[in-house]
This record gives sequence, C-alpha cells and structure tokens, in this order.
Amino acid sequence: MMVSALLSGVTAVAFGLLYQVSGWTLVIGGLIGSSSWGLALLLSRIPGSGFLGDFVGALVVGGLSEIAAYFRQQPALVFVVPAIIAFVPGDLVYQSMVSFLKDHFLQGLQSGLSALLAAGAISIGLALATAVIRPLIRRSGAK
Amino acid sequence: MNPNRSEGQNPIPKVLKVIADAGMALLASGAEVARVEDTMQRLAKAYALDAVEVIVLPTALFVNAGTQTTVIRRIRGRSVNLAVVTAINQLSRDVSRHPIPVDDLERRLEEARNAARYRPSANLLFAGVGAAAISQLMGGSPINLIPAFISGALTQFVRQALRQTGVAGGVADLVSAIVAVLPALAAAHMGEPHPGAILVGGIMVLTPGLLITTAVRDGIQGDLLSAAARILEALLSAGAIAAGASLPLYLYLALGGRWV
Repeated sequence: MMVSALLSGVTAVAFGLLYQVSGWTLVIGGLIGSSSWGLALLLSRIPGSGFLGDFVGALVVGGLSEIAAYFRQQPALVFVVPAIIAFVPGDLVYQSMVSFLKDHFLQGLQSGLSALLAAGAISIGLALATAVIRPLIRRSGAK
Repeated sequence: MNPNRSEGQNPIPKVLKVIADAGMALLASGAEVARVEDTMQRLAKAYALDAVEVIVLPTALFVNAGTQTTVIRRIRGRSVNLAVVTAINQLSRDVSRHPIPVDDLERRLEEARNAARYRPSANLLFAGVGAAAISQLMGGSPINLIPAFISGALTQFVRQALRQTGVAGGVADLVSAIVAVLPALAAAHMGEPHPGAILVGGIMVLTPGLLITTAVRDGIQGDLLSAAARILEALLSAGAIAAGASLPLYLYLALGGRWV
C-alpha cells in the first residue's frame, strides 16, 4: 500500500510537470496525491464500500488543495489537477472497451457504467470540497 | 488597431485591452470562469475602472467599462498550462497591492504568458514517467514499466506534433490514442503480462483531467454554461480517445493476437 501511495505521488508530480507546474507547488501536489490515494486504497478494502474510496479520495484532494491554495495564495486548480489524475477511472474504461471488442456486451456495459459511476463519485467529492470546505477556510481566515 | 484612438490620448481602452488579454490568457490556459472573472475585476479595480462588467464564456469574453468601451476576445486554442494561471494570478495580486503603469503591466503580462514552460523534450520525459507510474497503479508488473514509459512519451510526442499543425482537437486525440496503444500491442505480442496496464498508462496522458475538474468547479460556482460546455468537451475528447484506442486493438484481436 505504501508503494501504491508513493506511485500515486509520482504520478501527481509527473502530470504536474506535464501541466507546467513547478517548485513547491509540485511537491505539495505530490503529497496530496499520495495521501489521498493511500486513504482511498484503505477505504476500498472495506467490504461493500463500492465507490466510497473514490469519493473520499476526491474529497480529500479537493479539501487539501483548497487549504494549500489558501496558504500559498495560488489557484486551487494547480494542486487539484495533478493529484486527481490517478483517480480517473481509466482502468474501468479500458476494461469496458476490451469487453465490447471481445463481444462480451454485458461485461462491457457493466465496466462502462462502473466507470461512469466512479467519475460521478469523483466529481461529487471535488464539488463538495469546493462548495463546503472552501467557504469554511475563507471565512475562518477572514476573522 | 484604430488610428484615431492613440494610446496616449485615451488610456482607458488600453487598460481594458490589457485586462482582456490577461483574461484570455487565463482562459486559454485552463482556468475556471470564476477565476478569470475575479482576476479581471481585480485588475480593473486596481486601475480605478469602476463600473466594469465582465462576462466570460468558455470560448469568448467581454469586458465593458461603464458606457465607454467594450472589449471582446474570442478564445480559440485551449491547452493546459498551469504556470500561466499561477503567474497571472500572482501578477493580479501584486498589481492590486502596488499599482504599476499600464505599459509595465502589459510587459509583465507578456512575461507571465510565457511563464516557466519546460522544453518540449522534457515534457516527453514527464509524460513517460507519468504513464509508467500509472501502469504500476493499475496492477501492472515492473516489466511493464519500459513499454509504458515509451507509450507515454510517444503519445505526448504525437500530441505535441499534432498541436503545431493545428489539427482539430478531436482528431488529434484520436490519432494520439491510436499511437498510444501501439507499445502495449508490441509488448503483448512479445508475451508480456498485463498489457492492459501499459495501455491505460499511455492513454492517461491524454485524459481530460483538467476539463473534468474545471467543469465541476464551474458548475458549483453557478457558471452553468461553461460547466456544460466543458463536460461536453471532456466527453467528446474521451470518446475520441476510446475510439482511437479501440481501432488498433480491434485489428490486433481480429488478427488473433495474444492479449491477456
């Protein structure tokens, strides 16, 4: 699991570089990617948790990014985008694609729908972080 | 542009133009609508333009200062460059604290637009490392690292080359995805396990991760038009990528290729 979290951090840093992020921002983005992925992996071990891992992972990415953005006075986007890449359900989309190509229609449909639901869970996690955590930080900062 | 309106006589249009350029650079680099509007308003305030109204759409923006002038910008090319977003954000903060002459602002905006870009060859390396890491996250074994690296770097190379030729975004995605699959096919043919992990690694380089993120953030802020447009763009891009990746894989499978 540690290895996996580390890999997620490497992914975040590599994609951050690809999107022209530099310096400390990159390091923070990597840490956010690592910690959120580790937590998501832990949650996905709970039986019957479904997309809970994806949802909480995205929520953590969004929340930590808003906090980092506040303290570093930078757009939250700079932290969110590299860290969220690992959560994109590319694996499920791929499985769905291969199933369709192999004429396993139902399997393809299942993976495809799972991918869509996973994307939904991630979107809701990000949206919640922006809608709830952001105002909380901004308000407590203003006082 | 207009000879009757020289820059010295009427400074307000020039400020507006620079503000519009800042907004355009932000939007073209992938910033959310709320950030673009915020930044433009902040700049306008710094230059004592009071009744400024800003409208930002994903493909165009409008700035109006009172009854005087309206500046319109059309946004065509869009890419992801978070360095530009950061630099212009910083610039707008600096300027609202310590105002600088408009000419200086224009110069610093030009610098911000070309902010901290890595060389194209370095980008290939980043894409390769990213793809390799993703392949391991998706259940690949260490033997998949090298083909995944090649796949990521190759995909990025093709995408950069296509971007320079000005091919439409969807077509570029499709062609890049076709190329992204080739190393995975070669690896599968040579008997490597988990070719799927390689394939996903290569394709992740193309994923519209930024579009999804900004779409969600736009939607939550109430910029519905932009959110809808960006979701549509992400879906079209994902469709093009899936179609592009399916084509060589389909041919390979139809020819009886080995795929575990």
